[in-house]
Amino acid sequence: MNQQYTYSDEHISAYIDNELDSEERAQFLSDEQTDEDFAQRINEIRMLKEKVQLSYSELKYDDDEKKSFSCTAFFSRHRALAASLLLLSVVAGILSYNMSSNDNLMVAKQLMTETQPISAASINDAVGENSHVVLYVSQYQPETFDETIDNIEALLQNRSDDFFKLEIVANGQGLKALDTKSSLHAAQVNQLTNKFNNLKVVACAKSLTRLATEGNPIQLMQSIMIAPSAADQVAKRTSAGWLFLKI
Amino acid sequence: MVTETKILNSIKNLLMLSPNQRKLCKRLEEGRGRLFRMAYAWSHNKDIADEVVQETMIKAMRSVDSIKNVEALDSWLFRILSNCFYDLCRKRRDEIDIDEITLLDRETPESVHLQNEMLESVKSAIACLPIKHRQVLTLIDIESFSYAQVASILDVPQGTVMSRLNRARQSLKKILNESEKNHNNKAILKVIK
Repeated sequence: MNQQYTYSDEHISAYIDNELDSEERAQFLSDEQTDEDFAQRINEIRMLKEKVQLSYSELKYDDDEKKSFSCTAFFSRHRALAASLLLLSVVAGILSYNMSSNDNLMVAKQLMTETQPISAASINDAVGENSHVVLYVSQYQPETFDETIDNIEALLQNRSDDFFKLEIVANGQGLKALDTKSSLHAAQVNQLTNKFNNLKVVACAKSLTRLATEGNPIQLMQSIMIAPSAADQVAKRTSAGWLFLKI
Repeated sequence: MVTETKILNSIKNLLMLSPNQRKLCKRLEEGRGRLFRMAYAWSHNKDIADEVVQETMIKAMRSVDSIKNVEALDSWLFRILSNCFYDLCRKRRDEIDIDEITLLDRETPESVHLQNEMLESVKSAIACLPIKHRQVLTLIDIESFSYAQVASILDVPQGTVMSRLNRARQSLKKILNESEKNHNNKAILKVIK
């Protein structure tokens, strides 16, 4: 029997698109092998499908289009969403933008890794007469952080002049001190930043991203700022003559 | 600097994203090219495709938490893409007639000739199809969606998907055959000359 008159084109399309159940499919396969005209009809539609697939396969969403997507209309209208969607590319872009001075960055990294941490009690002495200080926090020990906050508050009260600036830069485990979900100290830090205009607390975007992708997102208070990376922020400050301290 | 601050402050939002939103972020990063290709297959215009993809991503991020089955993200995303495409066409009604889109990005005849002529003629033929047929054909052939998924994406019954697909393929075959005939005629004329 010539099968080409028993199957509609819609039915053949369903066969090619893998929409038939196994019984119907088996029947089609059998008929395709025994009826040349029917096989020809199937083949024409199959080739058409392949041509459509091929026609757009070379189309690429190139980097230039991605850049314009992230940085122009989309971002200006919906920056919060854009930042979320394009987090990796945005962070990478900021990093490359800011890290113009490799030397400063290298020095900063060296300072951050090799400087000996000071105790909370010695913060005031370590600051001395310096008017611009960057305090690096890479660890969080809840049991001793009360003392750290107390000493920072005392320092800021002593140095209430407009010339004095203290910037706390946190990354890695240090960010946990700022996590509103798990740290009792997050609210205290927030109070300090609200109380003292010359205090800024900066979180490292790189670490935040890493923690978020590991499933441990940090929730920050609104007053906490974010820098592309802790090293970059420290480089920016130390290259401008700020005193570097690590706690 | 102002822009940078805005960007950095915006990154904070990522940290407060829901698990669905985080999953969507990842999926969008991976699938932006696919959305763009589909929007281009419908519009045959890179600017329009780009705008449609942007709007799709924005809408997707806003409403991702309403999805119950996160595994069905693909169909859901393409449904948004289709809606955004129609929205844009409505907005630009004076500029675009979606059923009369020509290949605006088509390159010069010489470059087309140098490229794969057959594939260009298939694209031109697809551009001649009514948009409803074009959508069904491309969703099934390019993205390999099932008929049920396409029915869900376009919000039409599955029978409609099947009949649109069939008509699209019949029309495509006819256009390509005519195009081939014209091409052969031109070739003959060229030889005589």
